[in-house]
Amino acid sequence: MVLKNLKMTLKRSVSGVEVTRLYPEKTMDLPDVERGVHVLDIRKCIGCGACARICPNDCIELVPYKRGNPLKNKKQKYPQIDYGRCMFCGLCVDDCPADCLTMSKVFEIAGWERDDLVYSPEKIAVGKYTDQELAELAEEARKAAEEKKRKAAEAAKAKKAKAAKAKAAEEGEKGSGEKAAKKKAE
Amino acid sequence: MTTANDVLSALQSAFPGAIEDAKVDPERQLWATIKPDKIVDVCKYLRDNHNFDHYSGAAGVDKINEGLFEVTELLASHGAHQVVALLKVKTPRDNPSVKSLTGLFWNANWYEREIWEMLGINFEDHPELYPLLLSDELVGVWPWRKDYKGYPDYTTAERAIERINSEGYMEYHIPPTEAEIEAGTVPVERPKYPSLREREEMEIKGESEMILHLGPQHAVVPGPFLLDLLVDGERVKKAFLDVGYIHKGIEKIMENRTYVQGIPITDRLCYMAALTNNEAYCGSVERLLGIEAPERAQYIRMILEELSRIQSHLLGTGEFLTLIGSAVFCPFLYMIIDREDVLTCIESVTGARINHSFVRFGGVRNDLPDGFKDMTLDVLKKVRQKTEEYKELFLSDSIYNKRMEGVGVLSPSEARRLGVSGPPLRASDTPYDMRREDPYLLYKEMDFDVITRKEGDSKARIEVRLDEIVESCYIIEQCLDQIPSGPIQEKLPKRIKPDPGEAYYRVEDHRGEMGFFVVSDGSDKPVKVKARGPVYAYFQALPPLLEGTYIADVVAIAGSMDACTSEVDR
Repeated sequence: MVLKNLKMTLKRSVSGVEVTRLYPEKTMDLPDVERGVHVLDIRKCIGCGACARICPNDCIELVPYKRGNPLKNKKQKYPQIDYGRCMFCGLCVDDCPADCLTMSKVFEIAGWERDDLVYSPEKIAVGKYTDQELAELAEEARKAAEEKKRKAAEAAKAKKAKAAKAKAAEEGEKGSGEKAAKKKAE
Repeated sequence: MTTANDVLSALQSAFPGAIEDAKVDPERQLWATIKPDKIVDVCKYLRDNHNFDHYSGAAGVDKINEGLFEVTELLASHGAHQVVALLKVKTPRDNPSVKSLTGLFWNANWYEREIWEMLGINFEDHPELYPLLLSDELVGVWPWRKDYKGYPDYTTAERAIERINSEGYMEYHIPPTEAEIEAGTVPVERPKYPSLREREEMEIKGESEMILHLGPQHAVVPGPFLLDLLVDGERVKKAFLDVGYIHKGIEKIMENRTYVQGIPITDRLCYMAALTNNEAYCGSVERLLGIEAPERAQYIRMILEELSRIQSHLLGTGEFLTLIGSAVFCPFLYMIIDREDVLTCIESVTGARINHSFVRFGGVRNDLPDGFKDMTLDVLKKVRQKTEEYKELFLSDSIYNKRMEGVGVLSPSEARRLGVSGPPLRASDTPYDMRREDPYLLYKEMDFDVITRKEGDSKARIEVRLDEIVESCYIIEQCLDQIPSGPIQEKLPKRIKPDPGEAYYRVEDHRGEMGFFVVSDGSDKPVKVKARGPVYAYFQALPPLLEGTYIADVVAIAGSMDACTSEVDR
C-alpha cells in the first residue's frame, strides 16, 4: 500500500508537468476572449452612453475628452472606467452598438492610490488622433460648421422671401376677393 | 406516470373550493393558489397520496400594489413522478400570517424563518421563529418589503457610543439619526426571542456538558459560519448552527437591477458554481420570456456546465482531504493541478476563470474557439486517468478508510426527510438528479448514469463525486461529437420586459438542486428573485447529522458535504 502511494508520488514528481509559473517574468497564455482592461476605439465611439447605462456596478462615467473627434460633436463625451468597482462582466462590451469598446488581455492594474484605478478615455483609448489630424479635423469641422451656417442663412433667406411672396400673394388674393365682393355688391 | 393535470384534477376533487386559480405551465409545473386555511391540508394530502415528499423551499413575494404578501411553497417528489407543485398562499399586508408547514416537512423550518425575518410574515405554529441571516439589530425592519427605505448607515464611526451590554462586555452602539428615524429604517418594535447564546445555554443539562465553538473563523470551515457543539465528553449531544456572517442581500440587489444586470450578480452566489447559477437564472427568465436558446447554444452550455462540475468536484474533494488530515492524505495540490487545466478550457470560451457571466437569455456570450475540441479531449483524458488514480489511492489507504467508513451515515429515508440533494442524497441510495428528473437543456438526449451508493456515509459521498467526474467527461465527449453548427444567440429586444408572471427553473448544480424563482410585473426589473440553493439544505441538515458523533468526526462529516457559506447567506 505504502509503496503504491509512494510510486504515485514519485511518478508525479518526475512526470514533467510544469506546475509553478514564473509569473512576473513569464505570464500564461491568455485566450483571445479574455476579459481584461477595456480598449476604446476612439474613432468609432459615438458617445451614446449604452455602456454606462448597462453597467451593473455603475462604474462607467461619460466625461469630455479633448482628443475626441471634433467632426462629430464638440460636446461628445467618452467613457471613463473605475476599475476599483468594475467586475469585468463584459456587459458593456456586449451592449456597445458601435463595437468600439472591447476587452484586452491586460490584467495588471494595481495602483498606489484609489485614483490610479480610474481610467480616463486617454488611458484606454486606441487609435488616438495625432495633433495634425486633430487640426485637420478641426479645420474640416469649422468649414462644415461654416457651410452649415451659410446654408442655414440661405435657407432662412429663401424662407423669408418665400414667406414674403406668399404674404403678398395672399394679400393680392384678399384684395381681389374684396374687389370681387364689391363688384357683387354693386 | 403522474402528470401535473392528474394532480390538479385530484386536488380539485379532494378540496372543492380551496383552489382559487390553477394552471399547468410548462408541462411539469403545477401552479395553484390555495386558500390560506387549507394549505396544510392540501400539502398533507399531496405528501401522503401523491408522493410529494420533497419540500424544495418557499419564496415570499411582496405585492405592494395589491396590498398582499404571497408565499409560494415548492413541492416535488423524490423520483416517483416529475411534477413540481408551486402552491401560493396570499395574506394581507397589514397583519401577515401564514400556517407553517414545519409539522409536515422538517426542512420547512429555515425557509420559513428566512421569510419571517426578511418580510415579517408570521408563521403560525412554527417552533423557532428566530432570525437566521440577519443580525439582531436589523430584525424588525423587514428589509425585503418594497417600502423599506434602505439599510441604515452603520458605518459612521463618529456616532458610535461605548456601552456595557447585559453580559458585561463593552460594545459599540450607534444611535440612529433623525433622518433615519424619519425614513423608517430603524425598527420601532423588535420581536422578542431568546438569543443564540441563551438557546444554547438552555440545553446544558449537567456538569459534564460544555459548548465547543467551531468558527465563525476557523481553518476547517469553508467560509464563515458558527458551529457550536454541545459536547458531553467526546460525544456531540447537540449542534447549533449560526449563519449569516456574509449575508450580501443578493436577492435584494437583483430586485434593483434590470434583468440583464442580474446575470453577473448570480456569479457571486458561489464562485465554484458560477455557470450553473447563470444557467438557473437565465433559464427562469427565458421561461418568463417564452423563448429557448438555439441548439448550438444549449450544447455549449452543457459542455461548460459539465466542465464546471468537474472542477468543482475536484476542488471539493481536494479541500475535504486537507480538512480530514492535511499531513497524511494530501493529493489536494494534485487536484489543483488538474483543475487548472479544466479552468483553462473554460477560460478559452468564457474569458474568465472563476466568475464567468457567460450565459445570456436565449443563448451564450461566445462561440467555441478553434481547437477547443482537441484541447478539451486531451484534458478529459488526463482528468479521467487521474481520477482513476485517486480512486485507487483512496481505496488502498487503510487510514482513510477507517476514518471515513460508517461516519455520518444518512439513511435514504433520513436523507429525504432532511431535504438534502445532490451527491449526499445520491450517496444515500436515492437516484435524484435534476438532469433526469427535470430535464433541462438537452440532457434527455444524453446517455449517462446517475451515480448512487448504498452506504450513505462520508466515504460514499466522496466516491459519488469522483464517479461523477468520470460521468461528466463522458457527457462532454458526447456533446463535442454531436454539437451542430448554427446561431448561438436568439434575437431579443434591447430592453427586456417579460410579461407579468412567475417562473421557476431548476438545474443540477454541482452540489444539488439549484432553482431560481423569478416574479415579473411587466417592468424591466424583477419584482422578486429567489435563489433556492443546495448548500442551504446541507447546512440545515448538519445539526441532526452531527448528533451523537465524536468531535473528531465532525470535520469529516461537515467537510464531506462540500459546503459553500456564500451561497447559504446570499
